[in-house]
Formats: sequence, C-alpha cells, structure tokens
Amino acid sequence: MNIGSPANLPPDAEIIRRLHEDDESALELLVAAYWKRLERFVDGILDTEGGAEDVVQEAFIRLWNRRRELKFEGSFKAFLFTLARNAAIDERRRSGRRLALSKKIDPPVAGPSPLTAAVTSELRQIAFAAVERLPERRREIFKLARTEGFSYKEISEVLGLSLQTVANQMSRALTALHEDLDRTLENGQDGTSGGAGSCHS
Amino acid sequence: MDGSTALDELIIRVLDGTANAEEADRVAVWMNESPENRQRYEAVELVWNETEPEPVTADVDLSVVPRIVSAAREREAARRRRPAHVLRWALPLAASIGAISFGVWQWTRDTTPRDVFVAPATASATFVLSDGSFVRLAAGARLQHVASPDERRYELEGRALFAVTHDENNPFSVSAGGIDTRVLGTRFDVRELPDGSRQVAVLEGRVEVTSSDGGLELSAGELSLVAPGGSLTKRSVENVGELLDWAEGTLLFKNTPLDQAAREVSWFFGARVIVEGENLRNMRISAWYGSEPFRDVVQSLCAATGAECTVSDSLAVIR
Repeated sequence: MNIGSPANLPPDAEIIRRLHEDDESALELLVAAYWKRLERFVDGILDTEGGAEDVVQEAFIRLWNRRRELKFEGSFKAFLFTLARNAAIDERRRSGRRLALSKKIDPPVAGPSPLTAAVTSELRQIAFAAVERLPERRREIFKLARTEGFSYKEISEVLGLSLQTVANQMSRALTALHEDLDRTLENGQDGTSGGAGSCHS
Repeated sequence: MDGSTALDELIIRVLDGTANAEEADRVAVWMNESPENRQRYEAVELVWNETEPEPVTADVDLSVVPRIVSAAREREAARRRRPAHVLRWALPLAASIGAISFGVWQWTRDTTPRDVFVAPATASATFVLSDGSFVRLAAGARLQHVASPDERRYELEGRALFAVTHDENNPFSVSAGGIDTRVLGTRFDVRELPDGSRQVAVLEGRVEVTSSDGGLELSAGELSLVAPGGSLTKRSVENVGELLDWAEGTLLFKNTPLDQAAREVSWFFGARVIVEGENLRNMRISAWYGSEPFRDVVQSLCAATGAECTVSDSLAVIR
C-alpha cells in the first residue's frame, strides 16, 4: 500500500529514461503518485458512477505499451492526464451511451455525511454544485486547474486547446461561479437550492 | 488575451502560493489600479477558497502494477498477431488500378512524410497521411499534424474530407475552429460555413464532435452544426449528396463497403450502379477519384474487386 505524491517524484526526464529501460519501479512511482488523482479526474468525465478504476488502469497500460516511444517536451503530468482522458472518452463511447451534454448534477445539500457536514460549509457545497453545472468543457478546465493544480499551459496540452481558449473558458467559469456564490451571500446563504437547475452558458 | 483574463492565472498562482515575488508584485500593482481589478481579485479568491478540493488520502494498491505490465504485454502480442486488414484491400486495389491504367491515381496526391499539408489556393489536393488515411483538402485548406501521445491528432483550417484508417487503439481527431471531431475509422467532412459556424458530416462510421459547450455523437448520414458560440445541433440527411456536396467534387473511400461506394458513385454521376450479390456488396475498397469519367470509375471498382461489369453512360451492373 502506498500514497505517493507527484511532488516526490524524480524529474520527468529521469522517469522517461527509466521507462525507456523497462524499469517497472518507475511505473510503480507513477501509479502511487497519480492513480487516485486520475481516478478523480476520470470520474468527472464518465457520465455514470463507477468505472474510473478500469479506465485509469487502461491509461497505464497504454503508457507502458508506449514507454519506449516516449519523447516529448511538455509536462509528464499533462501527458498522463491526456492518456486517462482519452481512455475515459473511449470507455464512454464503447459503453454505447450518448455523450452527456451536462454531467450528473450533485444536489447541493443532499445529505452530506456527518464528517463532511462538519467540515464543509454551505457555501462550499453551493460552490461544488455550481462547478458541476458548468458546461462540460468549461467544467473540465476548471477542475484541472482547481483540483489538479494544472497551469493553463498544461490544461491546453491535456485538452488539445489553445492557451487563449483555456484562459477564456477559465475566466468564464470563475465569473459564473462567483455570480452563484455572490448571489448566495446576498441572500444570507438561504438560497441553497437556488440555481440547482440552472445552467451557465 | 485581455488584461483580466491574462491576470486570472497569476491571481490563481498567488492564491495557491506558487507565484514568485515578481508575479505577486505584478498582481498587487494591478489590483490597486482600479476598483474593478480589486473586485476581480476578490471574486477569484472567493471561488478559489470555496472550491478547495479534498486531499487525496486513500492508499494505492501497488499490486496493480504487475497486472498492468502483464495486460500491456498481452495486448502488444495480440496486436502483432492481428493481420493488417486495412491493407487487405488497399494493396490489391492499388495494384489492380495500376495494372489497368485508368489514371485514377494520377492526379494530385502526395505521400511524402510531413507534418503540414496545404492545398494550393486555387485547387484541392489529396494526401496520404502517415497512418494510411486519405485526406482531400479543399483549395487553400491546411492540415497540421499535432504530436499527441495516444491519438492521431490534426488541426484543420478550411475544408477537408477524411477517410480514416481504422485503429481502435489510436483514435483520429481533428480540431477546427474550436470544435473537436474524434473518430476510430470512418469518413467525414469538416467545413466552415459563411456565417462562421462549422459543419461536420459523417458518411460512414461514427464520430464524436465536441465544442466549448459540450459534445454529441454522429452516425453515418448525420450532420452536425456548431454555431460560432459553440452550441451544437444535429440532423439526419437522407440524400447522400448533401454530404458530398463539394463544388469541385471528389469521391474518397477507405475500407468502404462496395455497396456504399456504389451509392455514392450513383449520386456523383447521376447514374445508376447496381451491385449484385451479398458478398460483393460487402467487399471493401480504398480509393479516390476526381475527374475520371463514370465508366472509368466503375471499371476500376470492378477490377479491384474482381467482379464483372456492364457499363453504359447511365447504368452500371457489377456482379
């Protein structure tokens, strides 16, 4: 059992060199550092619950099969998330489901666990619900920035978008989320269900 | 990139504690320049604080690593055993066409390995991509390969008709004007309309179209419109001609069933093409045609599939 952290990984160049040499311990380091983060990311792409673990495993299989071809100048983290994203999209296609234009919306105050309730403010729940209501691409960009700590450049690599598009989408996401939070604050935080069915554009 | 949009990322870096001193100073100066700037900073700060993610705490079971390596090995072995089915028809077809000298392959095509493909300003051009896929670029169109770890990725300016080699482990994606079209192996057309919207039309197979506002899947005979703002709509098209409506006209097949190819040849020439026999109808061909006459196109299809042909000016029977 292991909890890794991307911050503790060797430099990208060393990881790539070790992968070139079929060093399975390099794969172990990556799995330890990124598996849970990739699961969280993939879960946001799949339009139903479950299946993220298989998709992440698929991403690592693809990584291992391409280990000797690895040759890029971008961020290795962005590369891994790209693999996972593509595997998730393939899984969505394979499952025969139509692409969800808007992923499931988590109800803002739908029965948090006692532990969650103790540490999560009402405003925070509203913020997370508002994130889920963002248009798919915008939501994906925001989550990569906020949850995974990606730079705009890394996001542009993962999603294959221009830097300008990422910046514009992030700006709109921040504005929309702020409007939701601001509205709630103005209403004295009593608008917990307000906007649950709305959709930002 | 306007000022506030460009500053958002710097604000985020300040909030995350990853900005250096110079960047932090820059944000501070910007924030004090106007009340609007300060409001923006506070807005981003509020959103950032309220969306802080839960830390990743669960353990990772590293026994998955040997399973990953083993699965990768098996898949690689299976890939090596699999016959190159795409070439099964492409090579005999090329040989047949070469032998019968119909000139089908004589017009503009280029197989030189490269990353950028550009059609002349006044004429369309056909290229063979490194994976064997065909692309017909309209006059002035430009297609650029973009390095990607696990897919065949291209960026398109202008209009293009694609016939993509099937590879389920290596999807083919085309970005054009803010929309992405992703396929495994199919034929589809991407173009920009005069009002700035984009159209993706699918002749064969299925594609996934995504814009800034979401995504949808298209099947053969369906057409998607992506408005300049990103909104997506789709509709079915009964007349295959609507999907092939190129001013200059071209026919492009990649591992396409002969029956489907015959329907498109029928539409293209305004003639009738009959294919007899289930086996023949399901045979697959790879080829492109531009200015060749009806008789030559039908004859080349017959030669490639080993069928017999009867051809007049308005009717062909392939049996």
